[in-house]
Amino acid sequence: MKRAAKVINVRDQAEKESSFAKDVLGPLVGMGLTINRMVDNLTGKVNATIRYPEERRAYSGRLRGAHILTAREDGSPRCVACYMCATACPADCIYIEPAEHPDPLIEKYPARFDIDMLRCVFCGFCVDACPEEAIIMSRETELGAYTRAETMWDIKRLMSRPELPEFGLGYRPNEKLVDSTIKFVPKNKEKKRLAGRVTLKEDVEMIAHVTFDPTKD
Amino acid sequence: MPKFTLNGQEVEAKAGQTIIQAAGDHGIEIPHYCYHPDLPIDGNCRMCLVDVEKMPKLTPACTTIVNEGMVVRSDNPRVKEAVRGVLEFLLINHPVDCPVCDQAGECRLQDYYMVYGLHTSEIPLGMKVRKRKVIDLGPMVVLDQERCVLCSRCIRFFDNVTGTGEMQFFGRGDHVAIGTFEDRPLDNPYSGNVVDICPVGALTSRDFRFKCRVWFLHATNSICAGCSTGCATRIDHRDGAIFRMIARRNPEVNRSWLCDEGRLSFHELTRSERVIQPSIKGSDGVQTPITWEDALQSVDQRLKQIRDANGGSSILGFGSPSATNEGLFLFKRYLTEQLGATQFEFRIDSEDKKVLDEEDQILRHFDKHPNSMGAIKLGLISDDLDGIDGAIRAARDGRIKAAVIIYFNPLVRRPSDDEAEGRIIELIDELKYSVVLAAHKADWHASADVVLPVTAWSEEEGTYTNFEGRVQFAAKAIESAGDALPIWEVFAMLIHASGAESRWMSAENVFATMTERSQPYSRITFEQTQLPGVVLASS
Amino acid sequence: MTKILLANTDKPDQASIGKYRERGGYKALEKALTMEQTALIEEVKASGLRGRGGAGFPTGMKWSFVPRNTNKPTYLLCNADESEPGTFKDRLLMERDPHLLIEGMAIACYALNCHLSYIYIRGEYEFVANTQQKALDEAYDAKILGPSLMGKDYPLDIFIHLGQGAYICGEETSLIESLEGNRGYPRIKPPFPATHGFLASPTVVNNVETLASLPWIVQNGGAAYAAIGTEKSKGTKLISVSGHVAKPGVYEVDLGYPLLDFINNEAGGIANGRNLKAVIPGGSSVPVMTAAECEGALLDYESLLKAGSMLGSGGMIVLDDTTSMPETLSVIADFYAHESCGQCTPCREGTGWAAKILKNIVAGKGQRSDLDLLLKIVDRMEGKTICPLADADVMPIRSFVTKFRSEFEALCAS
Repeated sequence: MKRAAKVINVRDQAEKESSFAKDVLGPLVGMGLTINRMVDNLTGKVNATIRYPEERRAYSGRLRGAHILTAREDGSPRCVACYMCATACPADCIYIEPAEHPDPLIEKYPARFDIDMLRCVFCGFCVDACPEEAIIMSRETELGAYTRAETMWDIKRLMSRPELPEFGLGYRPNEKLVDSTIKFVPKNKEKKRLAGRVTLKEDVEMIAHVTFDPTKD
Repeated sequence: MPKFTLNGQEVEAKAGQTIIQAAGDHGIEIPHYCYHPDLPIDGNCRMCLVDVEKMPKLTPACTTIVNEGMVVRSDNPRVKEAVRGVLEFLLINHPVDCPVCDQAGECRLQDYYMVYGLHTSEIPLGMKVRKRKVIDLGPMVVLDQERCVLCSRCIRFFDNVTGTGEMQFFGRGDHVAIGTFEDRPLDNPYSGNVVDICPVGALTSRDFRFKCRVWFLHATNSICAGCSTGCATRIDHRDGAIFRMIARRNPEVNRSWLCDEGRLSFHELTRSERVIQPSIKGSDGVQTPITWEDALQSVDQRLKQIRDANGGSSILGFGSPSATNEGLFLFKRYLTEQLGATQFEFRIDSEDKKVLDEEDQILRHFDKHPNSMGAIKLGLISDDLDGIDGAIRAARDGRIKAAVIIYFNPLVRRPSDDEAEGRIIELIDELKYSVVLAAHKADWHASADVVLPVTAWSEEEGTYTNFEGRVQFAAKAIESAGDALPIWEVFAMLIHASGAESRWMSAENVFATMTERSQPYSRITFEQTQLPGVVLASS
Repeated sequence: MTKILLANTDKPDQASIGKYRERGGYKALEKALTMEQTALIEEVKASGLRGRGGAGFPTGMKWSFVPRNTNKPTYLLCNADESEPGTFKDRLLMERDPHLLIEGMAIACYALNCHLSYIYIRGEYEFVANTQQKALDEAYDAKILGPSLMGKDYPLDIFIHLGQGAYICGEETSLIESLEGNRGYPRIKPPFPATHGFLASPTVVNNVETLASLPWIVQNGGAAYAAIGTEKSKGTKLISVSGHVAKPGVYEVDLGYPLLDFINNEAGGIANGRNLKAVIPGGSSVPVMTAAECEGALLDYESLLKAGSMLGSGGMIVLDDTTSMPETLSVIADFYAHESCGQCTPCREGTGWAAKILKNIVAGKGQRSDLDLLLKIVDRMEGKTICPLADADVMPIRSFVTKFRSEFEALCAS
């Protein structure tokens, strides 16, 4: 059965709802809020700007920052070189070279896994596509570099992430899907922040996953 | 010719055809794993079950021969439910390791799951039967027993096509697995075919393993240039590199098969360095690079000088049985019409005399060149010279002063090939002037006066004439290296350089001229050279 | 009750050819050799004898499918691969009265114009094969078999082939494959063995009991045999009863004998004074019957079909009220999962899956939804395979789960 449409005359409706409180007090209340903010800003109670890089804004927990390649418990990459990320990548910035893994149950691992950070558009499709949660994102966004070559992140750079405690984990939609946990303790939230580029330290503990065993339920 | 009703439509089948074949002829694909057009019928996968009126049970379409008046449905709910059930059964013990499986993207399990399945698995992972993975079965094949759907195509291939019977089922019930006795390697020359016919990722190619995910590849139809059989193939390539070559079905030539030598022959293209630009020997005896225009001007002028001094019969055209018909045709046309040359030859070694000799009863021929028959049909053969030895003698006697030589590295190398190259050096050394057209660099190019880079097989389109005179078209798959040009283009430019009309813009144009001017090719059209090819009338 | 097959099995010396002949043995063969071959087939047709291996296909009709004017030889294969759980009747015949089988085979061979015949005995019956081989040797020595069949110009050789212990080789086409030296995989029919069987020649595969019935039929005439039993199920049948009965063993009954009478009288009733819970009347592959369903059921092909089960091979398993039906079914399902040859998909994967689910249920790890899943699995197996092994798994599973569902549910977490 077709229901008759209800027609609302906008002008009639406006006149009906019109009142002194709405027409006069409303703008005054709004003006009060504006003046309040102005006073706060003038007195320094609230700052619209922050003193970057000494101060930083808190980013959302699912920010799409620089990628992380996660590791198995033994420290080897979880990645099985399936190319799902490279296939999904709209920027064509992931280069993988697979190799034969000695364990037939793993079968395949990346001998090379490079992400061209200058090409990357940080869309996170690679993370969505990954069936192993081998690639996730951090909240790291400061990727400045002095040379072109430094922006080409290889497997080692993607796995050892000294900056991570600073920024924390980012976009990680498949956390539940793969049933894995990341052993990672974020640093205490101190106000002190480093300015400038963080240099890469060689011997940093990798981020380990609990290995997912398909033979167990 | 029995008529029957298929999904409500009355269609005609050929006598003795099974339902699956007749349906395929009318564009209806009945899902299947074990059925293969070139293997005996087995009927074990049960995916092709169809509903035939008056039969109480669903019947497999691959084993049931069409009878007059049969009423078959492959699309009713009963059939769909059955197919879905069989698919679910096939997947319960399948490891579903598609991310690391090379077959992903061209896997029948994936394809049919998307059409008939789309179910959620009801078996917990721990309940699956585990079998062995990554079993090395020799130079061509890697076996994964878990991914197998036990269709027995590989077993039937070795039993019925090669007759070697290496593979068999082992075990019983849901523990059945395919394999070879004690994991012995598959070392017969056709073992690579089981990778092609395996509908899932159980048998994968050792050579192609992990090289590239298949959805990145572009496919080009071609003809194998490994020997004179002329098997139909498909070249899979990406970014200008060939990743694999697989068989294309041509019931008239290779059915669905390809030999291992041929399958891997494309590697020969990248094994040695390529000639990337024309070069000419200076007065100091050293080869220096030169532009195409200058090179062709120089070649045309020098050859004309020699003709004027010694007559056209002093110029030898030495073709290659690995070149396309189009290239050889313009090569001969330039030398005869512009220079009046009369001497032509292409035979480097005695292998070429075995054009018709079979190496085995399945596919391979002894002659490892794709177009020997084409060279013969185009008349690049001289009873007088009878091969390169005669040419060397003639050059020594002074009857031949100059030669235009086309040489391609054979894609399937034989020990005799080095010796053959030695003969070319001998010939060049006896000549006053020599022009070499080659795709790959060789030490002996230093002795030639001019070296011109040409495209190799897979980098140009053209037709090849196989041992039985079947003309088949091979398309261009990848770009050539450097400045290399197809042979027909080189000679089209030479004809232009020598002042004659030259209007060929493609291999197809040259083919059209060839059918007008060359008697053996006179009655065929370009369209006919597509699958399955056209056999030349014997002269 | 007529004793046709078990007339002499209780006599310890029956296996020797002398005693066998003394008791009237090989007289039927002598008589058969005086008859026309086609007349013999007609006689068997008239007797209404049906295949005793399980399917119950009329023997005379099976024989008449064999083409008579081909240049290929005809083969008779005796199926002694008795592997159906609960069935042990053929063993008794071959062990106690081996010459009866030889005589029956000789009659059948003569009727079918067959000169070479094999007895395919299951591998586990090696001792039976030895007895049978001894009898064959005696028959050769007595010039019954060999270049001339009982002196007639008709060469006949019978050989014994020992199987390697596969249930599936009791299926006639896989028996043929196995005999040819191949993997015991059932063949796709058509073509049927009657035209393309052993070595692509016309072949008849008959059960031991079927062949052993022939001497009596020839001796007394088809009509006399047809007079025994019911209208459609004629003659006598060996029932090998096991399970919770007081007197398990092999009994010969006229077809149409009441099931409960058989259990209570012949088999001595339920052991230890317990009550009847269920009966599997024809080997593990037929649907189970509840005690209520047994009321009024007769031991013949049609009556048991009407009662929802089958006479099958006559391997009756009687279960008393202490039996756990889920455990029983789990054992049966395990058997079929183990014996599935693995050739075609639904059986290979379905039998194994069903067995695993049942094991889980018995171990107390099952869910109620597993029962529906089981029924779904058997639906998907039924009628979709090359041979009937899948159906042999389907029938017990479906009948156990539907008829005793509450017992299964009691084991499952709700």
